[in-house]
Amino acid sequence: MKKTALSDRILREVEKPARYIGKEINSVEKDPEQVDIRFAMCFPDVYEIGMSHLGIQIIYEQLNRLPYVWCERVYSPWPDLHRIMKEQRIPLFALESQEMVKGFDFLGITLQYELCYANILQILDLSGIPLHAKDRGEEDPIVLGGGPCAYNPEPLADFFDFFYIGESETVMEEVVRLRRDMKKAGRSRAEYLRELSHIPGMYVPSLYEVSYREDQTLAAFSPRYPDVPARVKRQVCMNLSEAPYPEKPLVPYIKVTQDRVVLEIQRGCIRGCRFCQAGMIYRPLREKSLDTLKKEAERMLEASGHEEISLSSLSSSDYSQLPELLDYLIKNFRSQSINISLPSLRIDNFSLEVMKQVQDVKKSSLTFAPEAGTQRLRDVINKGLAEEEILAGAGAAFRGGWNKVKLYFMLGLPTETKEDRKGIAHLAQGICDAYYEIPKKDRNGKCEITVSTSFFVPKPFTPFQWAPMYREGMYLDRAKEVKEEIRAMKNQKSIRYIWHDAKGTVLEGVLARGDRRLGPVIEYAYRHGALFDAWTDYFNMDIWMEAFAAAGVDHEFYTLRERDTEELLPWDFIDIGVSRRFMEREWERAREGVVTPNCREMCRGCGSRSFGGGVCFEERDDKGHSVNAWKSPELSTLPEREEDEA
Amino acid sequence: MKVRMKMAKTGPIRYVGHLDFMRSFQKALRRSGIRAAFSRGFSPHMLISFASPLGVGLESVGEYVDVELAYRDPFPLDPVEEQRLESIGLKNEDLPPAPSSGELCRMINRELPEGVRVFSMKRVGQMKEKAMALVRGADYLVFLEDGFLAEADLTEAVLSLLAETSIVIHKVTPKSESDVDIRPLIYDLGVMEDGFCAREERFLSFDPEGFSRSLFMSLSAGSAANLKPETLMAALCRKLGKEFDPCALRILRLEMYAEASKAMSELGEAF
Repeated sequence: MKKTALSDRILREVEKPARYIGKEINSVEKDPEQVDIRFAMCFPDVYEIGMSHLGIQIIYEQLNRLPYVWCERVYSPWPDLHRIMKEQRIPLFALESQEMVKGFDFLGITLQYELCYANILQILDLSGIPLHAKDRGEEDPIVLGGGPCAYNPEPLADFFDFFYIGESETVMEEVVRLRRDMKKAGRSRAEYLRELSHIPGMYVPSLYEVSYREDQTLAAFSPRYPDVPARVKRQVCMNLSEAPYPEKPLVPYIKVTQDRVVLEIQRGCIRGCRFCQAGMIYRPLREKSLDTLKKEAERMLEASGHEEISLSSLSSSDYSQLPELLDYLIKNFRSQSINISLPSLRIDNFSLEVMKQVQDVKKSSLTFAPEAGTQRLRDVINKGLAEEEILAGAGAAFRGGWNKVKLYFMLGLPTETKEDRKGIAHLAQGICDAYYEIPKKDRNGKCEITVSTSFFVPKPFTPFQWAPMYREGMYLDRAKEVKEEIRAMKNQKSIRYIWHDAKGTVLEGVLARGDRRLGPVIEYAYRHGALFDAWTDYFNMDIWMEAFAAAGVDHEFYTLRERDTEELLPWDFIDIGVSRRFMEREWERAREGVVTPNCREMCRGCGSRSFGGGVCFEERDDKGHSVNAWKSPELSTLPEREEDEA
Repeated sequence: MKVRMKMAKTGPIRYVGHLDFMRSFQKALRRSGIRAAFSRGFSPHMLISFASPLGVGLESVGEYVDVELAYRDPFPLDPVEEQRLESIGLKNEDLPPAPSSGELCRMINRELPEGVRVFSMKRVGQMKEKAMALVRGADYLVFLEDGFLAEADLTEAVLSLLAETSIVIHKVTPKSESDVDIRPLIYDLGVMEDGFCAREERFLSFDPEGFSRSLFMSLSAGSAANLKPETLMAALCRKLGKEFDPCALRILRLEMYAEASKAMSELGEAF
């Protein structure tokens, strides 16, 4: 039996030691002597979060299919183990081999949210890898980053050798193969990175230089050498049905957030909500074929032994063959006592009928995400969900026996007024009214409405990337307004209100749209104790405020001002395939409160068509509508309902 | 058909706590192709019951779990048993015949994580008491890290502890605090001679080097009165006037017993 990297004594001391032992079912073991490339793939948060991430499982599958690569996993040691590893100078190890990360060829770090940036430095620090890319030697791993936050990699530019802009299914193999070949040929780290910059989508920050104006905005951003591309183009996988997918998913021993089979049914979204980064950076919508999904669902359930399968996508209702897929899942897996979980379904008669078959109506709640309290503001954000639809959906749900509804909103959206905030309470009350309109004998007790608000953070590559943010106090005032208005409602006792912390919002906002000058801030914060900032219990804004002061950075420069569309933005060198002109037009339309139709209603020429596939090439009728344009599926397409006597 | 499995849990998986281990075991059962029975309703679950939760970090070669399988019970069922099966939507004569217990062991062992192994499987009647309710006692080997209690005369400490008529410990749980006399819960306690230790070595995932001394404990176990080996070690340390260090122990559960010192594995019928 392989030894664990941590001694028995340490494993007995720390919380949830099973986070660190590896050996999960379907984890991949290889003989280190038989591979040329050792790849450590890291999610810089705790095991339970990292293990729930689909992207890493895809990369794990993809890389381990290559005979010359062994890809292993790394997660952030929890603060209790962090302290022990620092004190006893224990180097960070990968789970499978339990060997030091420092000896690997690559350390890949997924960048899923800004509040994990301090954890990235923890990973480097515990591994014994110099924090700054420029200080790394030939023996150190090449450190790469990818994922949503890589679409503005600049705050992290000092710490990464390169960023991978786009989907792993495209050029990842080329990236590792090049390393293998150059390593064999005895070429240096610098030579590799220079060569790598010629692979489309690869951004090597050290090969670019940046200058700033007196007003602190970016003056210029340009490659240092003529052979290095000035723009980095996002790499997109156009045939997801043929792409590697983890047919043998890792099965963790301890309960993780996503303890089920995750079936990605499509990538991208047609909706074009103006606040949503995912809706832009994953364009165009690409569906997986029904046959592929059937095969994958079956294999993954068989290989994992999971008791639940969940559909994953940004908007599952938009999958053109949803009724057929659900019919297949219900017919094949309900009889095997497998739960089917259907997040991100639009609530209508069809989805309610489906949900009735797969969940307990009395216990489950339905979720709506109106995001804004009034129709005016919903038009501004281009959330194509009308009040009538929400009320009709809720009414249908209540008549179907549900009595719990969750509503998600954002506060601090561009152009938001008092009326919009009060509108949140009014919409919640409207839903209560829909409930109490039902005759008492048909109701299932009281209704329970949960209103949850988070604070809006403008993200790069969205039409709101130019929008201003607010100070912490103003966010809390807004939440208070909502709270007071809810308390003034007739059925206020049926409405629960939850709001998110505002401190993290401000930091997230700074890091999301920051530039290279934030590097020293992140480093200072980590060195002074910042860790697990995404965890309310561990987040300490004071450390960050001290870090801004120490680095001489005015954090409000990044949050409070409205950016001019003329301004050169730190992430403008990345070409995501959606044009800046489209974003500017959308920003303009937002402020005019004009809705933009979704990709299936009408093509608005965002630029994604250049990828040559997906929704952009679906068949259109004479009005320009896609033949797959969304309409509530016929109820008759549903499988027969099994009567359950229990 | 309800079966009782005896199994081992050794190696790094000892760091997986009881609830997580149960879930992993169920996933292994699903992968194995063995037909388990499920409860009815929207979130069906396996009908499964572990005899006694094993603490995080402890290893065992004597774990027991009862599982309801969707195979025909080869033994005649009485009406009450039939009714119980019906309540989970099954009818004995409609169920497929069960593979042999050896075959079932092979099927599950192919899917169990490293360090977990099912030794045997026996059929237990439908209405028989659950494994958990049967457990009365358990045997343990407790290995001491070499630096721990290094100068102490363990044999003498054990003898003088056993000579006491009552050993009162203060027990604090999240819900209550109380004084408990653990003396009646100790059936046997002794310092191991090297021989025994070596004999059990094959079960251990660790290098017993560095753990040259060990104690054998036979303790009351089960829902009525459970004494943890760590608790007894703490009492022994108190006797010696030494500080107790729970991280200096490696504990191996050897066996669990039902009434009248009958090993749990002796209950039930072979199939």
